[in-house]
Amino acid sequence: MAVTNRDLDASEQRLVVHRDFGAVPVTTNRNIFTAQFPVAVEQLLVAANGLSGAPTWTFKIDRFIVGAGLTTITGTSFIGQALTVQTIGTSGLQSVSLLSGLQMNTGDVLKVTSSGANTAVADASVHVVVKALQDIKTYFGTIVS
Amino acid sequence: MSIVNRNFSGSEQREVWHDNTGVLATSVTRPFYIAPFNCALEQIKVAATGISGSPTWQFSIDRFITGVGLTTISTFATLLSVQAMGTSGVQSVVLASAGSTLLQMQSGDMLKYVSSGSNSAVTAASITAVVQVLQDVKSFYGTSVT
Repeated sequence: MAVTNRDLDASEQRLVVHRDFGAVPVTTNRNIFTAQFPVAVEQLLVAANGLSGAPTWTFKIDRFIVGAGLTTITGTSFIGQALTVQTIGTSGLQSVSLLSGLQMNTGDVLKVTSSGANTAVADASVHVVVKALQDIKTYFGTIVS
Repeated sequence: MSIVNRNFSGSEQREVWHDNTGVLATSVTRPFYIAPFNCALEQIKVAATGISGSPTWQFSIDRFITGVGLTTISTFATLLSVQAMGTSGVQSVVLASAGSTLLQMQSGDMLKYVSSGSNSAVTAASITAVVQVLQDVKSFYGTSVT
């Protein structure tokens, strides 16, 4: 199984990761995925069913550094816009407006926090397109050979 | 199907989609996967544990077209009577014949399943689908990559 003698095509550098949720009530955190190697987050898409009220989802990145602790990266200057969730029957697949060049380090966790008084989502599917930023020789810091 | 300087073999054209569900009561809709690019469904497998009653799952595809709205397509899959893995092993969802256009998913289509069956539930299940990519993958959800 060799890929050593050629470059990966652009599409081969991409991964699609996904997470499906059941009910997401207000003020709930849901983890989406943990980066196994450094990646650039290119697209974040949401398909939801069964809305109650007008829920808002804010996407964040949790980064833990030994000795420094946990930092949660959020906000329009670092991640992108919050999403006003709508049903797939209303809007189709929704795209989250992300900051250009958004990157995750190995071990970073992408998560979402719901907000909006008296709101909820019955079920939703979140898909993320990421671009690997290295020749993938490590997974979570462990070198593969 | 070529990519830069070589062709993909048959197995390289396949992707496996996977998802787990916790407790799934009756009359619940669960999204499973949104197709990033055009692809053909080839297999759907279910491994369940902790069955209460006789739950059934119907797989379907939600397709949203701007100006038209949402269409739900379910004729490609027969209703699955979910059984425990200890009873039946991994179950296969019976799909339309290979090559049927009903099995072709477009970018942005959402594969989902809906549970039914009075007083039924599944404690946990793992769902896996095998798809064949139908294009040189140059776009994800309609956005080209370079």
